[in-house]
Amino acid sequence: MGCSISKKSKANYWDFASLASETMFSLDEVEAVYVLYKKVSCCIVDDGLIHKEEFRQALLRNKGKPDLFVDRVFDLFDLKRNGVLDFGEFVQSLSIFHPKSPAADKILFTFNLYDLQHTGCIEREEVKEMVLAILKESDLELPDEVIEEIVENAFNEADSNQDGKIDLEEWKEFVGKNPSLLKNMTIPYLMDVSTVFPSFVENKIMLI
Amino acid sequence: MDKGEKNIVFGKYAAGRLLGCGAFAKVYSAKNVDSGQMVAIKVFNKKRIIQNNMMSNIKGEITTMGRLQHPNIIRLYEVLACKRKIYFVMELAKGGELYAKVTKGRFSEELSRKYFQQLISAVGYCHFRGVYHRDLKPGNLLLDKYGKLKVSDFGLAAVNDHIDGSLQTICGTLTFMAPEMLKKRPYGGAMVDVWSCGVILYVLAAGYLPFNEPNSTSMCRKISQGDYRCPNWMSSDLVRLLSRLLDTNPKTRITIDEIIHDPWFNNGGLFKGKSPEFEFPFYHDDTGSSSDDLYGNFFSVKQPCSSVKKNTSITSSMNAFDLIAFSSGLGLSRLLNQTTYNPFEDGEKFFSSLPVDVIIAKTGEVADELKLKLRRRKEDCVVDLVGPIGNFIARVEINQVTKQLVIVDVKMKRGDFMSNSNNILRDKLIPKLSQLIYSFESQPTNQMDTIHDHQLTIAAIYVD
Repeated sequence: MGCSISKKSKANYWDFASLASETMFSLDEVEAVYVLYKKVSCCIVDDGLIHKEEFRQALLRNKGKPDLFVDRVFDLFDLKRNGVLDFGEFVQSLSIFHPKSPAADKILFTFNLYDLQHTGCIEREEVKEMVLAILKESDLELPDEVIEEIVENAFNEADSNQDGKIDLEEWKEFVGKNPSLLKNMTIPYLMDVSTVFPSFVENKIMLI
Repeated sequence: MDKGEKNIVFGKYAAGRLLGCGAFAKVYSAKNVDSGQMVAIKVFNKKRIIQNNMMSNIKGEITTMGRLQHPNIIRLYEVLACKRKIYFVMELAKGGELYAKVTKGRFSEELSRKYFQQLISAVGYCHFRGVYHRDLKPGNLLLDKYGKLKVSDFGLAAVNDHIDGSLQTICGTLTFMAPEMLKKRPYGGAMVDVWSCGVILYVLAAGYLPFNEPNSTSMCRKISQGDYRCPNWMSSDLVRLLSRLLDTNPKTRITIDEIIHDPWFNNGGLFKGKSPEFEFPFYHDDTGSSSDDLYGNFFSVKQPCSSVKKNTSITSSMNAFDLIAFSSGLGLSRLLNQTTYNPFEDGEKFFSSLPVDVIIAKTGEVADELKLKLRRRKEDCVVDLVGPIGNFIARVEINQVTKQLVIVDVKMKRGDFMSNSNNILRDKLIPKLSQLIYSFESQPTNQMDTIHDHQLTIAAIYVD
């Protein structure tokens, strides 16, 4: 009678408890994210790892075709830089998108995301490349002058020291003025991820 | 499973008495040890679920059910699992089954209407989200302690198909089944639910079943022919509504939208959505508002945007990074949102070089034509198109991109699955608004150079 919770971690070598303590997720949520992870990691190659193609497929459902933004997100998730995401990388990176994650983490993530060439600054060419990509994705067309103007406007606003580059400090200030830029850095569903992806992980034994 | 008061589920819920029992599941009352909140826990036997290949059904449906938030739908709070069992922690309806009340005698039309309105509110809300019950019957209609209707098991259709189908007598299940289901033809979930609502309304107002035969053959025949009789004490408006609900042809059967406008449902115009005990939260823009709130938390101190907006210009502007953020590749919510079918997730975007008020005026004309109302939001550059009862249809958002160019984003937050209006956006609104679309190819550029002293070569197709 009563309750006894015992752990049987034979199914996975990941220590969910320590992942929970390192991230914004509770233990229940880590288990739920594991269910999501398993689902994504087996959608093309069932090897327990998320490959870039699988990540693309999960986000765009486009049979894994290259995409500037998805590929950037994948590269940032790939903390070990070995071309695949293991569960630890997935949980830690996804934690940034948790509604309770500090805004500073989200700001840093977007900065690194838009710094396509890893130069430590967001440059004009990078912004232009991304604007072109989004226009193409939305089947929209604009003349080059207009695109230049759009990029120019962004730099007038964000590049406060007018050196033609946006550094991290300038980015923080810019995002502070335009908080909507962080909107897609929060996944509201992560709050109830354990309902969306109920964990059926068998590490809880209940006696009732 | 043993009886007893002191069983603690996952150290969180103290299990109480058994409320109900089925072939696969048992329902217990329970108390959240920390908060003291009373809940109902439905316990499934995992082994039997796996044996019946229902695991994937259950998982998918938990996802759907977990997102349903409506005052007349039993909430699913949490799902827990252990080696042998799956636990659904749900809202507890203390008032018991509505059916128990009807068996004591039929309801007045007034009371029947009150419950029917709440039922339609819940059903409409779910249909709007593409969720169908497919097994509506008095047993699924519960009452809370204030007597408010609570529909249970929404989004659990596949599970219930197995569980209750094997449990009940064939006739018992047949009673609420639509004719097209009996014929084993492919059927639409929405129309099947409408039929069941009709049977329920009949039971509430008459006090007995419309179709009740001793054997399933004659039962099937009666249902297929729509052969029922209304007692002579029913008002003619109610009889007419029932005949529209219990229309054997799903194609001509009344839709939820039409029910809302029915004179009996509206109580001869007295209702009109203003009843204090009852509202129509079908179309609550729940995801949008919740994400706004969550995101608002980070910046609750600063709130820089709203103040800036009002000082500088009427339109909010959109910078390069706002455009970039449109990318679906950056929409990581999709990772978790796979099961929800949402055809209009990304909406339609186009550029226009017309002034904002011209675009809004044009949107107003389109709205008039479609018999929709235009509702201005607090933000100057956002208008919502709403239906006759304030139901949200679509949102048009205008943002300045350059001095001459705005981006117009037309979005239908949810597909409306219960009527033809799911095509409003694609078939009507967008083609009409497309007259506003900026296109730099369609007019000779030299002509435009003379008009604008700016370096832009914009040509706009003006409407007039």
